Amino acid sequence: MLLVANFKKELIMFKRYLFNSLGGVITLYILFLCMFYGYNAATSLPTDSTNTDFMVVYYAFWMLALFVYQDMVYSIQEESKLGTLEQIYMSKFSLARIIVSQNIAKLLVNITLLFVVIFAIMATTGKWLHFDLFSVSVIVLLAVVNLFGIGFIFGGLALIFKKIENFLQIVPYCILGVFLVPVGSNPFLKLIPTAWEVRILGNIMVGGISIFDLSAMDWFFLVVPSIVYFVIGLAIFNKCEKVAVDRAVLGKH
Amino acid sequence: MKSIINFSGVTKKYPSGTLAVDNISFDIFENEIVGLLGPNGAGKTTIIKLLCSLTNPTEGEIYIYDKLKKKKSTIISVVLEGNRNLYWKLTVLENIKYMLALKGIKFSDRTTLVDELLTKMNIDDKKDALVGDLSRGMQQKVAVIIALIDDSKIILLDEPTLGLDVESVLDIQELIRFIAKEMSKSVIITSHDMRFIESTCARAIIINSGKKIAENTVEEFKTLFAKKSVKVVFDKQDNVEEKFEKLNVNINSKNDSVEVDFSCADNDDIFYEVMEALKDNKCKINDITYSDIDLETVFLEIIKNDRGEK
Ligand SMILES: Nc1ncnc2c1ncn2[C@@H]1O[C@H](COP(=O)(O)OP(=O)(O)OP(=O)(O)O)[C@@H](O)[C@H]1O
Ligand SMILES: [Mg+2]
Repeated sequence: MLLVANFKKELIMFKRYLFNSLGGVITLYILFLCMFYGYNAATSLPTDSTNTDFMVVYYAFWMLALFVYQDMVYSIQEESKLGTLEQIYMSKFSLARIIVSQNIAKLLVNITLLFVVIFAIMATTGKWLHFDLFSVSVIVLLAVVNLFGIGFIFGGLALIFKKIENFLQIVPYCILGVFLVPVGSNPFLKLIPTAWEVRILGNIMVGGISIFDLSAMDWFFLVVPSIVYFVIGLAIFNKCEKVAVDRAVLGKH
Repeated sequence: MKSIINFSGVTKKYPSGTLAVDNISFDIFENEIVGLLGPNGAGKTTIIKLLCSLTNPTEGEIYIYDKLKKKKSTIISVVLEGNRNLYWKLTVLENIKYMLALKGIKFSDRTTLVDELLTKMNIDDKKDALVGDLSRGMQQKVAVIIALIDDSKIILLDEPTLGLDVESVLDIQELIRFIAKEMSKSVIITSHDMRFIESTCARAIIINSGKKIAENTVEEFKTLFAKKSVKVVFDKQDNVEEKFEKLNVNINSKNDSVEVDFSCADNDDIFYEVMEALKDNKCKINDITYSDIDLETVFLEIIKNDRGEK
C-alpha cells in the first residue's frame, strides 16, 4: 500500500511536470551523443570499438547511480524544508521504510526513462547491445541495493546537516572513478561499491554473457558487498535519524 | 475526566546546550482544548515536539493513557508552525490521499469526512488546486484537516493562526471547536494571539523560560486577576496631586488636568479611597474609564511577576 501510494505520487508528478521530465530525457540523450561523438573524434577510434560499447553501459549506469543518490538526498532536503518530513516521521512506518518506498517508486519511473534513453542512443549510434532482460535486471537490482546503502549514508547526513550541497558535488565524479577501478587486479577492489556490478553489467551487455555464466566467486562479490553496504547504510541512517530527533532538526528552521 | 497525556517532570536540554523545557508536568484530558502560552523562546514548540516524538526528553516521562510512551504514537497528530507540512506540488486531495496512505488509512473510508471538513472550511472548491497555489490561510486549513482525519485522539497545533486574516482565524477557531466537540479529540494550541486562546481554549498553561509558571482554566485566570483598570481624569487644582500621592495609584499631571489610574478588583478599598479623595477635594471629574481585564493583561502580569521573582 505504501509503495502503491508512492508510485501514484510519482506518476502524478511525472505527468504534471511532463514537459520538464521529457526535457530531462532529451538532455540525457543529447549529452550522451556529444560525449560519444566527441570521444570518437578525439581518439579517432573506429566507432565499432568495444570501448564505445562500454561507454553506453557506463553512461547508463552513471545515470542510474546519480538518480538513486540525488533522489535520496534531494527528496530528504526538500521534505525537510516543506515540513513533510516531520509528518512522514509521525506516520505508522519507520522513516527508513518510507524513504526506501519513495525511492523505489522514483526509481521505477527513472529506470523506465533510462530505458527509453538507452534505446534511443542505441538506435542513433547503431550500436545494439545485448539486452538479456533477466540478467540485466538481476545485476541492476543488486547494484540498486548497493546504491541505496550508499544513498542512505548521504541521506542520513542530509537529515542532520542542512547544507551538504557543496560536499555532494564531488559524488558524480566519485561514481565516474568507480568505472576506472581495475577490479581485475585485486579482489579487494571488487568491494568498492558497485565497481563489480558495473563490470559484470558491461560483460553482459557488451560481451553477451548471461548471469548463468558467472562463477560462485563472481556471485559472492556481487551479492555480499551489496547487502553489507545496504545494512551499513541503513544503520548509519538510523543513527543519523536519532541524532536529528535529539536535536529536533527533522524540519528545517 | 480521563487523562490522555501525562507529562511528568519532563526536561529537554538540546545537544547545543539550551535548556528549552525545565521539569514541566501537566495532564491533558479527553475532549478538551488547552492553550499553551508563553513569550518567544519559552519552549512551546519544544513541548509540542516532545509530545509527538519529534524530539526526546532528556529527563522525565510522557505517559499516554497511563502507558509510558517509548516510541512515536499514532494517537497524536500535529501541525507545526506556519504553512508547512504539505507537498506544494500536489493538489489538496492528493496531499490528503498520500498522508492517509502513510497512516495506513484508506481514503475511501474518509471521503465523507473530508468533504464535510473542506466544505466547513470553505475550501471545497480548491480540492483540485495545487497546494503551492493556495493562500497561506488555505494551506493552514488543509494542514489542519489532514491532522484531523486520521485516528488520532490528540491534535497539536503550533501557532495555527500565524499570518491569517480575521476571517480565516474564525474558520480555524470553529474547526477546532468542532474537533473537540463532534470528533471527541483533544486539542493543544500554542499561540501568541490571546484573544484567540481566550475564545477557543477552556484551559491554559503558561510557560516562561522553559518552566511552567501557571496552569488554570481561562475563566479562573481571569477571575484570579479579576481586576479592572480604572482611569479618572479631573481638572487641575492647587496641590491636588499631594492628596493622591499617599494612595497606591499612578498620577499623571497635565497642564490643566490630572490623570489618576490604578487597577483594582471588585470592592477593593483603593477604589473607594480614590473616590473619597475626589469628593473631599471637590474635583471636577472629566472622564472615568472602567475596563475589563483580558487574558492578555493577565498573561503579561504573570510573565512580569515571574521575571520579577528572578
Ligand atoms: N532544534 C533546536 N536546537 C537547539 N535549540 C533549540 C532548538 N529549537 C529551539 N531551541 C531553543 O530552545 C528554546 C525554546 O524554543 P521553542 O522553539 O520551543 O520556543 P517557543 O516557545 O516555541 O518560541 P516561539 O514563540 O518563538 O515559537 C529557545 O531558546 C530556542 O532557541
Ligand atoms: Mg514556537
